[in-house]
Amino acid sequence: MSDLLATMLAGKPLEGLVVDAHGHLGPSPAFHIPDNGPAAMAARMDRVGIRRLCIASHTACYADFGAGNDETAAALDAFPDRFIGGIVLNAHYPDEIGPELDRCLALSPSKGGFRYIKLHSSLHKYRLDSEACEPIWREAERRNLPVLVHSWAGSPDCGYDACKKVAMAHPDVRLILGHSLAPDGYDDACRLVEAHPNVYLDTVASLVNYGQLDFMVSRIGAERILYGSDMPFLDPAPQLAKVVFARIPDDAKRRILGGNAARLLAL
Amino acid sequence: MDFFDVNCTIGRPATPPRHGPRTIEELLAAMDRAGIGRALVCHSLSLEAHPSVGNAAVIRETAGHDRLVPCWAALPPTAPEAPSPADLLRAMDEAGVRAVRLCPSAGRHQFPLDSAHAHQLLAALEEHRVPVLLDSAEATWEQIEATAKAHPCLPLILLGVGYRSIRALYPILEAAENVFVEISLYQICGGLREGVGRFGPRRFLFGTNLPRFEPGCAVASVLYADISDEAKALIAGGNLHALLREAQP
Repeated sequence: MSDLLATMLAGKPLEGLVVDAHGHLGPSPAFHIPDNGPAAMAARMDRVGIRRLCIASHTACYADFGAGNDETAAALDAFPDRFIGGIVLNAHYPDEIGPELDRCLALSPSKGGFRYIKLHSSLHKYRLDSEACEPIWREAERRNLPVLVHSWAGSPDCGYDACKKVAMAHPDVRLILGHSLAPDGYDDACRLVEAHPNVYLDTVASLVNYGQLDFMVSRIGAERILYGSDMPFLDPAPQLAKVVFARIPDDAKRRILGGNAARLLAL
Repeated sequence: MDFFDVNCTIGRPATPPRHGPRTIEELLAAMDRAGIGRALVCHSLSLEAHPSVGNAAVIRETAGHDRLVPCWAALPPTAPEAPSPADLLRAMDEAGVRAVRLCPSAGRHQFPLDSAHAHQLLAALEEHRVPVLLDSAEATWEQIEATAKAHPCLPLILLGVGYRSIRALYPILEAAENVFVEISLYQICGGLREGVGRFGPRRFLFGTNLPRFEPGCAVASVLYADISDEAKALIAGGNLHALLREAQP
């Protein structure tokens, strides 16, 4: 039996480098989340064996990106060894893109806190491939920051077409498709990885489809797939289990669980 | 940990899962790999075709497989095509079936959960303490609460309760002690910790949604929950064992 699988079936924390590449922070306006604060989340990470978690606050993703980025910064200061910050930007505020990046990157540089850009164009209601979003892509390219986007099959804002156009137009931007075009766009997501070397996928989805990750790895390999949980929306344990229970070699699981993210985020 | 899955389907659904197990043997192998001992199983024909077709199929196909416990679907006694509640309970007893699934939604058996005929069926099941499985997406929260309150001794097990549902769910769990939550989609961070703290461990049941979902995910939800080992054991299987033991069709 796989070492990882044996550890999980024993209910013990996973060992080795586990980096959760897709997380959030704080309460959600849409529904109650019992454990949404940084301390509770860090304790939950300890319980399952996650060493680092990438976070972008709900306040930033749903509403005011600046106020939300401050929440993320506070969590980075409180738990500098556990969280990695995502700077949320909003294409509706084009004049603030550069200054907000400057501000966040200056907040805790010694701790290496903010390391990527997070875009939730579905909640902020703009298209990733719109003209309004161009300044964000240019800044990401100039600053060499990976961009984690919410991607969703069928969405004009963040579906296959929009992601494809961005991947083509900005080949030097490392584009992480959060949710891999869930709920049913996994084939399209794999096509984008095959066609564009700058595209990465993550494993986040509440629908824990049987064999989903096996299929993705068989098609595109494990090198550009990142484990993510959407914590605290979702509990990390069942999301980790998607990787651990996949019928793929342990070295592929290790890359997905942390190795790929460590490389991408220069951890 | 003795895992007993309350949410498992066999058969050939109209839209099959792309990668999941398709045969009984594959299903049992998937259960083995995740450390799951037993499963309460409905047949896809019971859910998607007429219950009489699927209910016969689940008995036939689980025969000889002690780890698979059959569950039937039922219709309200609106027309002769559906047995009277008394005849249904008699047939269940003869077949060794101790749980029933209702599919009232428009896409399935299409009946009002709050009709007089549905209440006749529910009252008979309540009298015999037969657990009723209901996908939470097949009824409104108002219908679920009204059903549970109208039949306070009926164990009502909600399948597929989503991680976004707590604001609707908690008032129902407070108002009706006969409502239970299956956890395959209940993945909210801290959900089991808080839910068990507020309502006790007897209100939550382990379920996988096999063959659509990876069963290890629900197993991990229980194993890593911030609750006592005793609570985990109840959720993993103790609660379902108890509910089926109390059923007297």
